[in-house]
Amino acid sequence: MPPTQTHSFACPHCGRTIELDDAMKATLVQTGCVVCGCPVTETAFTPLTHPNTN
Amino acid sequence: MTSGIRAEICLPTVSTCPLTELTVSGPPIYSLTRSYSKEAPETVTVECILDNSCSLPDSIGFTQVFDYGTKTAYRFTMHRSDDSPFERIEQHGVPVAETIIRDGKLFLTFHATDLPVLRSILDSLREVYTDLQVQRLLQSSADASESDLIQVDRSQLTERQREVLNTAYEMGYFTHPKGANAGEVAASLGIDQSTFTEHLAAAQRKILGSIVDSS
Repeated sequence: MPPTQTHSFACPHCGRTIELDDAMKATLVQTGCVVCGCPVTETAFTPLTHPNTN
Repeated sequence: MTSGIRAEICLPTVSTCPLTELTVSGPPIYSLTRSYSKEAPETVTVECILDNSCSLPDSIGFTQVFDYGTKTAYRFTMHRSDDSPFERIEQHGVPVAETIIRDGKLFLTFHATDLPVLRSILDSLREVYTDLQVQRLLQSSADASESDLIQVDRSQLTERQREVLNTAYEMGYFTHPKGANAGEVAASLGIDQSTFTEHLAAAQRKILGSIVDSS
């Protein structure tokens, strides 16, 4: 099973930064920021690279 | 598939937790549990394991309950508060799974059953803790193939059966086309081909029996 990709989410509305996995990223794209509820797009996510997955 | 969410949050300023002050210049606290009793519903009993280098303030009223050598388990009782982050999470039927207190900050982990529950908990916490930080969110993502798990007890195989199975697997006996035939695996093991096939059949019967019985 491939390792789950993690992402850094930065809400463009409330400014919160949260580390997420793939499933949670998909949920936020569908439902909006978990804190402020504002809609978010793919541009709000940055893939995180962990040293042990390279 | 469950839609549960593991949430890791940080509360930088928690006036309702007297232990945070101890960690500003002291070692972190990695173990904290709480309990309630019917006899005193207005209070909560807190148990924590503290490093012996911690200087304990008399105001908290610690009672030593167990000595671990370099650490000690203490218990104390305090009045419950609606502002307590523990209470605000538990009010949603969600227990706090992990508690860490470090550098005067409270780090909590809990498992929300779904997104609406998570949002309700975060909204409730933000009413009191405006500096709440949501650090990490992980959502259960097992698909159907991952969730159909079974346990196989390898101890049901004899040492010889495990050796035969491992050797056959490593030599490619189970690949298509075969990396080795029965005679070659048997020769590698130093046994007759008929003995190899007997051991292999017995091992396969046990393992496949576990899988078939579980379906």
